[in-house]
Amino acid sequence: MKEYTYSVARVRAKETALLTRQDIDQLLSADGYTAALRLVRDRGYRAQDNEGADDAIAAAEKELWEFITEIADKDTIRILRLPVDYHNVKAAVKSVFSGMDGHDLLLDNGTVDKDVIYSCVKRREYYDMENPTLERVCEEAMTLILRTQDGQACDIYIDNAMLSAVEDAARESGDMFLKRYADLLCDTANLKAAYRCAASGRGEAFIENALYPGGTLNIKELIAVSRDGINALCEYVAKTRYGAMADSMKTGAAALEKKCADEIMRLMDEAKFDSFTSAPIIAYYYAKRTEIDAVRLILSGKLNRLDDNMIRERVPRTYV
Amino acid sequence: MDFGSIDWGIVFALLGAALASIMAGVGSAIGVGKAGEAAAGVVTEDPTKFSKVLIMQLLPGTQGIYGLLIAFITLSQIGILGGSADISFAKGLLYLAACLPIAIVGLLSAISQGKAAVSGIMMIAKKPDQMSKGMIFAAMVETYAILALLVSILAIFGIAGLNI
Repeated sequence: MKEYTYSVARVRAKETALLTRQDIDQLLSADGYTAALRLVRDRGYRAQDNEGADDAIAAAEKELWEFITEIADKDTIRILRLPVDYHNVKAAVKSVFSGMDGHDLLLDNGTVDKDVIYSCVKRREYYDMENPTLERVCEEAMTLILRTQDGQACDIYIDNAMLSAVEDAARESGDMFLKRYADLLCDTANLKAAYRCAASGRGEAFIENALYPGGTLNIKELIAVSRDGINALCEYVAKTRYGAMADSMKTGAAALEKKCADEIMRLMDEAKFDSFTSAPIIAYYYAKRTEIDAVRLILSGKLNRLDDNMIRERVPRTYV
Repeated sequence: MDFGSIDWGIVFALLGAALASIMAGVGSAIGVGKAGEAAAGVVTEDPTKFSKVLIMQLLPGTQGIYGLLIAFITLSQIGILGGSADISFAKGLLYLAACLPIAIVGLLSAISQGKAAVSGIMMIAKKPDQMSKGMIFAAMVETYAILALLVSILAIFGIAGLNI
């Protein structure tokens, strides 16, 4: 088994700088946007020119990717970069379809350069990506959206293609933690899709298309109960290994979203007791990613003067 | 080559000394190597922790020293370092057996201690004030290497007095 002792040691040293639950609570109770931004800056979110929150968050994201690229091997990095690729495909296809310049919506740090993806989708010539799977997904997503004019169908197709790519990459790596991470991503995505379908009273054909046929859940049963509404879905989920999510489904989409993020964080918690495998690297990436999203959410909420409790309900659990 | 004319006693005794230093040394090299990787990782992010992690890295190195000690005592007892190297076949086998505890336990305990030291180093990375506890956890493994060292020493000195 491959060991990552040096990388895990660097991760452990970096973990001391992650925001704790107390830090997040302090941020949440800050008196306004300016006070929250000052606190965030004090905890290391600082752009070189000391500009606004967006620059500070962008700098933190850049630093995270640089760190992960330095310490992780190609299999681990690939799993983390794949969702970026599929986000970029989605943004490029929708921008080109709507005739808008959506280049700014694409993100750095995918396995394929964002400019290459945008240019390929724009020209409808996909071979420059040098990634047969992504080329096929781009082509089919573009064909689908042009044929159906349905942005949601396009989203579902690309999201499922992303889950399939992550699952394949995890299986090819042979790493057990990556496999469990991929399964959990598939399961939480399916639970969220099933909830949305059940809440909006969708038919069986739509649900079947919306759910990804992978992960550990029984998809046939999930389709059947989603068709029968939220209560049937909650009853079914309560009997699965994700029983704790049934209550949050009754509360609403935001609560389910938070619960799914917490469930993934629970898997990451296992990495705290591991000194040799790639698990702590994935866990650090996920923890920092969650922290950055939480900081963005809190600052945005403060800027728009949202109620603190409303923001608090949406902030996922921290790693430390 | 006429194997019948070889004095197998000294061969087996020397094999024991070699195994003690090789196996315990290899174990220590693996253990110190693992701990060194972790120490380098911590120091990359926080150079001020160098002295703390260095102590942890050294812990799995003792088995190699124990192996060397046993090899040295054996070599002096069997006359390789001077004096008469006339060892009977039975005594040669006994010296080999006497060296095995530190050889085998040294190898395995050094690797295990290396893993414990790695975890201790990672603990120092997060909680430097808990260094002494990390050292104790890793040092617990040392107990078994010391027991094996004792058995090997007692056996080697005991064999010298046997008239076989």
